Amino acid sequence: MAYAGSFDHLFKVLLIGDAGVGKSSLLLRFTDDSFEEHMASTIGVDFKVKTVVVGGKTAKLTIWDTAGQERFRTLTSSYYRGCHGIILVFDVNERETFNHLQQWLEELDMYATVQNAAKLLVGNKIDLQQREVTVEEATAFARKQAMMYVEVSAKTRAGVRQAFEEVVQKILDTPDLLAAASGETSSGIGLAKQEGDTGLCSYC
Amino acid sequence: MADEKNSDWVYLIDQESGASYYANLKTKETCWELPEALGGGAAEDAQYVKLENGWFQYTDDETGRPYYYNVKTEQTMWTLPEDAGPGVRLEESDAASSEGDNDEKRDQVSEFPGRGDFSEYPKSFADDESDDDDEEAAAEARKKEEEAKKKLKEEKRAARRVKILEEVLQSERAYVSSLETLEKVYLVPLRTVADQPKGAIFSHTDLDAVFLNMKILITVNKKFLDDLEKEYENWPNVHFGNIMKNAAKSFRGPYTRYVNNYDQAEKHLENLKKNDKEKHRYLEVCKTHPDANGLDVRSFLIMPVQRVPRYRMLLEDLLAHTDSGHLDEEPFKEALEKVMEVAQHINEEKRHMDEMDQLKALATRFNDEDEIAKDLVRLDRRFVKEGVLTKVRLTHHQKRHVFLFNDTVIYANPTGKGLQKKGEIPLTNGARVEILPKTDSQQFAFALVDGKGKGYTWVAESDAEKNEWYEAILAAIKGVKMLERPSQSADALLGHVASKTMPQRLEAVRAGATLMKYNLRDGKSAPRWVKVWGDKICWGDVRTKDCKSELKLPEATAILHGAKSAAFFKQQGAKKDQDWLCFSVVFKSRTLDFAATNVQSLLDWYLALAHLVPNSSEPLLDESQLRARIEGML
Repeated sequence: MAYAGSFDHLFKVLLIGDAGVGKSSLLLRFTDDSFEEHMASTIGVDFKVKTVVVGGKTAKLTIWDTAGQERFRTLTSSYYRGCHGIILVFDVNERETFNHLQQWLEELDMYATVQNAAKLLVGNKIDLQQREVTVEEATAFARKQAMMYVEVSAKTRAGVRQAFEEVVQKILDTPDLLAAASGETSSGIGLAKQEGDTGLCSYC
Repeated sequence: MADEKNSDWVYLIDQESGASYYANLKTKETCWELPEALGGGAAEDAQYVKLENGWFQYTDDETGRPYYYNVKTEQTMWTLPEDAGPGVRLEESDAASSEGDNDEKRDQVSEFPGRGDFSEYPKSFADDESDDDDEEAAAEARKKEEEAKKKLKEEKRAARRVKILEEVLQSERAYVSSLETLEKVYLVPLRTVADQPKGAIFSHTDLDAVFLNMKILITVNKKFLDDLEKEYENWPNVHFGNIMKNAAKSFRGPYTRYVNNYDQAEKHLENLKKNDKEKHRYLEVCKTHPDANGLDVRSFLIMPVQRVPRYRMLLEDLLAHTDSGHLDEEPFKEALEKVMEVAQHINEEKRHMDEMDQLKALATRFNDEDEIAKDLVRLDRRFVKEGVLTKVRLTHHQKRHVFLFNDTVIYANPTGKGLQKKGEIPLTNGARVEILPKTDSQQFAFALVDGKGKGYTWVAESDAEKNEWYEAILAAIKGVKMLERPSQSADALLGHVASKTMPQRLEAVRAGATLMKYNLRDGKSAPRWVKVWGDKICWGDVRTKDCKSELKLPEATAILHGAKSAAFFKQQGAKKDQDWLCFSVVFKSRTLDFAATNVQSLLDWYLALAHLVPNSSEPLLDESQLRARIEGML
């Protein structure tokens, strides 16, 4: 993939939630369209880059995975910096992971540096059909926190793309976020055009 | 906003058919296709066939032609690869290969059915079974099947282990390569710039602030990677155990320092972005280096932060797939222990830094910021809670801004120039907190008593608020106690206080004793001669032992242990007695509040009174419960 493919926006998106809810699987399903039930890699990747087109706008997403960091909460805090979108993941078959959402939200409020970062609640593993959290319950919770709720299965692919597009749409719909994002990148985009330019770039 | 409308749509899976559909929770509408409002088409429904050596066969959605994708090598082919083996049901195509189209192809790959595991394996068991009607043969077949299953499981486990080992190496390669990219794209050019005698855009101060320790990390992890690579040459007989163990040991110092500096680095970059356009612009230019792949410097800087916890994941997974007794088992265990220790250490250190930052930020809200900061910011201190409470002293009521820390309470008065510190109540040396009974004037009150026995009454706005403060302060006091007291001799105090029978206790209270009596009106205390006389409790001068006042015990409504009555806290500094020596006899219109002078006396009085007021509205303690409670309060 060309690294400097043209894009309108560069968004940083973060996946958080309890260990084992499928954050890495979700990420890999979305970016690589792969899912390995038994032979999945242990740590997956730090982050993935994917370009999506939503509402005619091209957004380049860097999506960060926090897998493995769940037990080290203060370390995770470093990830929140500059995030435009945050995807909060739980496992619909594990009540505990739903119960912990409040804590994740509190942490998010404490550490997120971008005001009003777009939040999305994602219930994963709906293919397992051992549901412990109902759609109504999750939706009610999400609505109370002004989030949209999407149910997905990283395994069957259901809802995955929609979830990420939802976040992008929400960022696009929030002028403050868009401003924050363009603040990050406006100069970058401008300079990307002068790629051939030898000036300062020769140092890099 | 489109959002509000969209938020009613949810994506659901029909439990019975497994089909996905959309439902609008508000209108109860359902549909199979993604509604127009949500802007998209429904998911495709492609199938795949698993082949050998990591190859999968897919069908191209547009042309309907099969193509092949290898999950290991990430190759894509239009023709059946030689090493993919037979067993392809679909028609083969002889079109030319198109390896350049990986990304596009993979985008079109759809649902992995992911049903039973056995679809992937030879169907020989099924064939055996259908040929045999005879029971014995069926049993034989089942046994065979069991064995095959077991073997399959073992094979899978071994394969999994191999895969994790590969991941250790591959992820380390990727990580070191990222660090080297950071060095090449950012660190080296910036250093060159900083070295220039004139007009340097970046100073070495900037570089130290942002890249502190990065060089050491690169060295440490390069060494680790080299060791892994060398061992990997012995494939498939590789032992990463000792290498990982040694690496884990080398991580502690460098990674702790790096992570501790990480926030400062972030802040420095943030500052550059805001206040130093030239430097920021330079960094943005660096970002366009092909190797940077469009990633800014911060995306690289966070990588070491996340790396250590990931070693834990790898090691845990490796251990789960390593047989006990295996040569690598012990080293893996040690490596895991070490990595956990490093991760926890880093986490703790970082938490300390965060807490210090929080304290510093808090200090800036006071008018004499520097003085406060000197006092307030301590390595072992943690902010817990703040709020506004009313401080009550005799008849004075004052609104105070109260800060609770893990070891102290500070209260302040808001002024135009910031908060003015008015006082501090350390939670050390046996400080305690008690909820005070409701009175008309003080609905939601609690008392905080410092280690010297000086009491402070605080009133909250609601029951919930009062309880929150009470719980938080109680927890803080417990925490202090844990640190402060290497199990003070509760045993020594209670251990040799002999147990008595109830008649003996009754005899003791009837004979009379000196107790400290607290005055309900002003909270002052004085020694009084107290005894039980018939069904009355009476008290008077200690010297004359004359009983001047009395109350009828059958009229008492409760017996309380501990300083639970408001009288104990009426006057700051008045209550000199230990909490566990205090008890109260509650009557409808008033309370009698005493403190015993020693443990035995306390046991005598509380237990005898409890015996005489059996209908106490407060739960009564028996001797062992009382002893346990005292022990807990010591």
